[in-house]
Amino acid sequence: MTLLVAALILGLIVGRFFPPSPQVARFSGHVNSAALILLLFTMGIRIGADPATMENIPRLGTRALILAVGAVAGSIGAVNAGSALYRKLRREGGRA
Amino acid sequence: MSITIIAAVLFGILCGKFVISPGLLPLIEGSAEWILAVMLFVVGMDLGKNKDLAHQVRSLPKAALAVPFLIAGGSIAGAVLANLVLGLPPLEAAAVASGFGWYSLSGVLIAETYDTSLGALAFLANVLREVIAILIIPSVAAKLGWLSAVAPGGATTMDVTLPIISRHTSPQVTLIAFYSGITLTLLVPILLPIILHWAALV
Repeated sequence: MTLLVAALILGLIVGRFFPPSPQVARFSGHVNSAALILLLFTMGIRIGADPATMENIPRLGTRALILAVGAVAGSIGAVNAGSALYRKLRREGGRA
Repeated sequence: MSITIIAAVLFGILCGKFVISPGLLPLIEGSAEWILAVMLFVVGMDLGKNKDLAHQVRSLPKAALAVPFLIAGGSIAGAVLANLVLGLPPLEAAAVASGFGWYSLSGVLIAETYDTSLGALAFLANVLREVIAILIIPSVAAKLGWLSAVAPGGATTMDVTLPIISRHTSPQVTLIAFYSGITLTLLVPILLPIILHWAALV
């Protein structure tokens, strides 16, 4: 896992101090798309090679939907509550 | 792009089931981590080259800086609550939610370091999060307020869902969305391994 965080930090430093030229940026965009496809392909291989996951696939869809809806609703609720609190504090601050 | 993504996963599943011998799996796992590293390097480079961004973010109201952390906490809490119906271990639900819509990283990371089934679940749940976000951002912006429209997209508000947010809110909210997407993107590779570590201990 250290490798991943290190790669991210190294990328930030390189981008900040040696900004890529448009050509390099376009090339790295292609590299990223290719890496994404390759990664998802390897994840597919793992799923296909794992009989337990293969059996579970019909159930996974429903579970995924429930968790995704929960995460979306929770995040909207938190931002809503946060901004309501912020407005309330500002109103009170204004009155004082 | 989305068709390519689904095709890549399906083709992988077929290869895994019928073509690849089990002896090759460790080699594939090892290479996946290096491909992930390349991807994160490019993401980092993209973020790092934005010199103006730090300056623009500093011009935002201080309270706006809390938005990605509200989104992170809300996503995890929401998924853990929704999981009461499903009965998975709560930390596993938290791990799925802490992909924040970045399906490639969360799916692969969980499949690689924790459990293939949970990785597949995280992949699907985070793809669905992106799809749900694309569908509901316009109505959330209209009915619940512009800032709330930043929430559904999670980490995707720095790229995929940014144009939608920009169309339905203001330039300032769009900047908050971009900042929030970047922060959540940086948070995934840090937070997810920590949650998986705890989940493995339980």
